[in-house]
Amino acid sequence: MPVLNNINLDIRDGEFFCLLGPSGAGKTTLLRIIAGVEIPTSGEIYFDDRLMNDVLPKDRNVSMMFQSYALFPHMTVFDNIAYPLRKRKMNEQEIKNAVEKIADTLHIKHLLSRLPKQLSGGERQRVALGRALVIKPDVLLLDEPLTNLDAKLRIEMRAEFKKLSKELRTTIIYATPDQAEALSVADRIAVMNLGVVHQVGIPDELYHEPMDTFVASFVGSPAMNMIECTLIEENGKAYLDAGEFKYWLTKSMAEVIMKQASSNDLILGVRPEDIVILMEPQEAAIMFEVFAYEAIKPDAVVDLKVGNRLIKVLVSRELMLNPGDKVWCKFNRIYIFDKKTGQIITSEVKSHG
Amino acid sequence: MNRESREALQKAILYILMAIVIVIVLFPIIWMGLTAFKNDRDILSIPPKILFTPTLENFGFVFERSNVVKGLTNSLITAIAVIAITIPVGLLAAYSLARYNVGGGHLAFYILTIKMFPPIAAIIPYFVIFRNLGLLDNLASLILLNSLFNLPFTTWLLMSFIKEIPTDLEEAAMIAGATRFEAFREVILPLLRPALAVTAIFAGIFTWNEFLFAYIITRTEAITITRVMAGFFTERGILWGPLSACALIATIPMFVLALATQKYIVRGLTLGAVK
Repeated sequence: MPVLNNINLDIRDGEFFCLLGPSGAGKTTLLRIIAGVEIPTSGEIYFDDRLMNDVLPKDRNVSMMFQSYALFPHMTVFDNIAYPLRKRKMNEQEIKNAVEKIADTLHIKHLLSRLPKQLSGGERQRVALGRALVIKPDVLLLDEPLTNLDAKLRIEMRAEFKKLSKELRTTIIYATPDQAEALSVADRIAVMNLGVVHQVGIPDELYHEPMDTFVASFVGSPAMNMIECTLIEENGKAYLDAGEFKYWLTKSMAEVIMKQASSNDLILGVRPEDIVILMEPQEAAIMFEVFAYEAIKPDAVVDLKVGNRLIKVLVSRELMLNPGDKVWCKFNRIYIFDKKTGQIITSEVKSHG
Repeated sequence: MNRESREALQKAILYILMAIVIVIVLFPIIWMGLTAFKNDRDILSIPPKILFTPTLENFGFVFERSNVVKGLTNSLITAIAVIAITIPVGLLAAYSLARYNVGGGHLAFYILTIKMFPPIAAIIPYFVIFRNLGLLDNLASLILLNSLFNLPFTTWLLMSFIKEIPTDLEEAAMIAGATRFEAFREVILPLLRPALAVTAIFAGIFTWNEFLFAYIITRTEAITITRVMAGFFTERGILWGPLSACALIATIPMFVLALATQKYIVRGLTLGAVK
């Protein structure tokens, strides 16, 4: 099975582009191919109009920050950061200025004479970043730079990255498995899984207009609820039969589905924050039983029982529910996916308050 | 018994066991050392004497009647030459095998199997070859043979050490502007210093101790210290005293070397060269 399968990506100048996907998606491999340390079995890489396939890594003017940081253990922080400059044969005074300047920006100036093993994780990360930025690369490649940091530091550094990207005008390609991270820092994101790019778009597009079930369930937390159902027609009206409940469709929706779906087996997707809970029965509301109630500040997540499945709903903390309570739900926004292909067929937005 | 005393007891038992093992292992060497300073009577006396009046007559015998100085010199030259050959060659081979997987694993395995080859099976053909080339009793021949049989070992050991270093480091260097060779020289090599030291020491010790090739290939000119010691097994009997004295002279340099580098040896044997 190929590590990367038929990838076609167009990354714009100065863009903050994210490769988003779980482990094994091929993100690191793609970064390494762009850097030049891995040779693709087929395909071309272009920087502007220049074909880069045979260009050595050292001649590509890219910088890469590795997930492991890859700091040279036997060199001081200063020498680590100075390394790319020394390779470009700058004179020592210029090198000193450049290194001190970037160390200042990254708040590591006081660490310049230390060895990597004497640094904390966050400090090492900034040294690796310093080494990557000191040459002002055309493309900056970042491989899961925040994965090894603790949660608080991660969120701080996310903001730092965003700020940094606005100041530099380098093209940044950033690989991460964390969808919240990607959504918050990136201009555009490519969602990848098992060597295939599923969708490329701005964060909003990926969130509100996913193209298939993988993107829909990977982007957004808590994940979108995916309910299997069948399209049934009865007396000129159509509904989705999810086993424990029926979801009635408008005529136009039913037409679209019947035209585009490969079969009547579908998946109904609805995000936890798009489900409205009502305490009393209303017309067109579906009844569910509460299974669990989890407080995740500042909101809460309610698990509703649907047969032997659970649907997650995001509610505000004011709503107090107990297991066994009966509630009535309306869906503000639903997505219909083709069960066999996983592709999106259509979506519908209502507003129920 | 409470926990502290139990742990103290366990520790004491451990130390006693270790002491017993050390005594058993070191006893022959200590005995050899004692024998070197005994006169003939004391050596053969029954029961064996631990207390005796030491004498230096054995050492005198060794220096006057045998080629010990030449032997030491030759052994030293051979060991150093073998290190000088096997380390650079082995290092380059090891790097290619570790990073490029040359030969797809088969070459590496083949090199390993050469190490398993019993030298004694090859010695007769080698003798014939060297004799026909007129290269017997020649230090160069000895160096060649020892290098050949030590090369698989140094290659394999260095290959394991190189594999311990993550490829990230070289790649980071290359992306930062280094060529493959610069990355090797500036990033990998400094990290390999302990590994190289350990490998060199082992190659040196193997060569110093080597007896079979020295015995068959050399006569008088290229005589090594091991062969000098063999000379004390005469038709009139084994000259234990001088033999022990010579053995002591031969082993002391290796002891000193191992002691001086034990930090490296332990590190090299237990872990890789980098953390």
